[in-house]
Amino acid sequence: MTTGVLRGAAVTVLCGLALLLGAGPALAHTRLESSDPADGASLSTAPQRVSLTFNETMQPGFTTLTVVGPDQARYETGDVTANGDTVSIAVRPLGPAGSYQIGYRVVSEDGHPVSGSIGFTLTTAGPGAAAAASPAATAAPAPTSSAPVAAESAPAQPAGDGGAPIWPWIVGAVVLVGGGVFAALRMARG
Amino acid sequence: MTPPTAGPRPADRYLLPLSWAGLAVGAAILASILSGALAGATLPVMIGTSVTRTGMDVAGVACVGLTLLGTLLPQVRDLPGGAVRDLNRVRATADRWLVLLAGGWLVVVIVGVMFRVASAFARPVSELNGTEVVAWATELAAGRGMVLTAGCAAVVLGCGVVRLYDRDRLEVRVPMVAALLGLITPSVTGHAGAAPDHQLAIITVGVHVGAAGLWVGGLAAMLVLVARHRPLLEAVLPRFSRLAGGCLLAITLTGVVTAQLRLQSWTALFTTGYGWLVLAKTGCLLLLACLGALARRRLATGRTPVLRWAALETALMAATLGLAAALSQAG
Repeated sequence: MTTGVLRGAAVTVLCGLALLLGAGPALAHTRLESSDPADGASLSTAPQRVSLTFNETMQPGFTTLTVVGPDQARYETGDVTANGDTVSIAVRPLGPAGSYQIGYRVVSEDGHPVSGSIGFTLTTAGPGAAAAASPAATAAPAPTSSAPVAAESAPAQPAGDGGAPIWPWIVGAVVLVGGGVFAALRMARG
Repeated sequence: MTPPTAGPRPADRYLLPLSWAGLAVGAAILASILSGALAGATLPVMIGTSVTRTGMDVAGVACVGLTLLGTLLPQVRDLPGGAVRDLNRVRATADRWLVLLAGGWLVVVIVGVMFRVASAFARPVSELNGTEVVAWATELAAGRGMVLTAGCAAVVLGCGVVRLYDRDRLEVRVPMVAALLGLITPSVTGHAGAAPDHQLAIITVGVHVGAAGLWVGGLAAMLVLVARHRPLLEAVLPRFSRLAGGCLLAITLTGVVTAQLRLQSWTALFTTGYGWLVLAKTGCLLLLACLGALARRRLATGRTPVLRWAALETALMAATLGLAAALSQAG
């Protein structure tokens, strides 16, 4: 009995130790390498597009980019385009001077989402300020531009709206496999 | 006075594998939460991802172990008459377990795909649709890997069912190769695929995972199914012991090469999370090697507690496996 307890304790301690040692900042998979505009840059003229370069080939369908201004309005427009390891999105004429945040959410080749944000400062107010002040007159009505939502919580793909949910099919497949295994075991025994 | 065949008691035969699986899954969940590797995902998706990821590994390792056991079991002609009935019974049990576990593996892979897609698109599982799942499964290396693993699990399942009805129709090596392939694929499409020295990283990680699967799975299958039958154990154990030695060597070599590829400098061993993981796994490996050597020595002198040590060894392996699964994929 005592040896059993000791053995259990030893295993627990070892596992705990291994966990504590192993846990730590995750090894980065997809990393942001550079951006245009650069993080922390001060610009006097607003960029037409923002682009981010990562350390691996990017898939446009899995990437969300947002540009949020100092007035909490969204300034990105159109679809994300990917070219090799660079993803970019067009930007409407920017509004008031101040700090803008480029939020990104990308999925690396091994299937894990990576998100973050970088910022740049606009020193001279752009022509978009008036447009942003009256949302009804927004020049380029991007499908997701109505609410100032951070990139992390935004759906990654507007295309996700179409189509029926797939979970009934998954449940069906699981039931099918389970039933098949059960039947095979029963019949082999019988 | 211990009976000569001090194998696991009947209740232990189910308890042991269950506790090993639980240990691996628990270690994986804890590691994911502690390392914050899946931060940003909702809790259900996070737990679902870690559980299915480790569940895949546990089921895959079990399938590899069961099929390996099939190749290690002696021929009928090499056995004393009384043991032949035991041999046939063990083979039949192994085939039944193989069908059950391969089915479980397939189910876990399918459910795992759902959770991984949900985490990639940051949407609840209930709202995912076919377009998203297909995009994930075809455009990302991880998705293609999961599809391949599902295919391998299905092949193992099919082979298991065929063997259930007519054992001589299909060599047990066929499902063993399929199970190994299915076990290796997810790790190869993980971080290794993005490493700078692509080819070498993929080969070493593949060998690493394959050898670990053979070692852990083989030991577990042997303990649960063969330990009670002394004549069978005496035939299987020396063969497995040789294989385990080779696996240990392969795991060490490939582990060193992989770590050397990933770590930039010696100081990174102590300053980065991955470095800590390498150290922790090295410690576990040393401990496992000691336990294995001890077991082998006890076996040579004919003392029975070797099986208890082996159970402990498997428990430790399961925890290490869960840890590795969580951190290799999420970390």
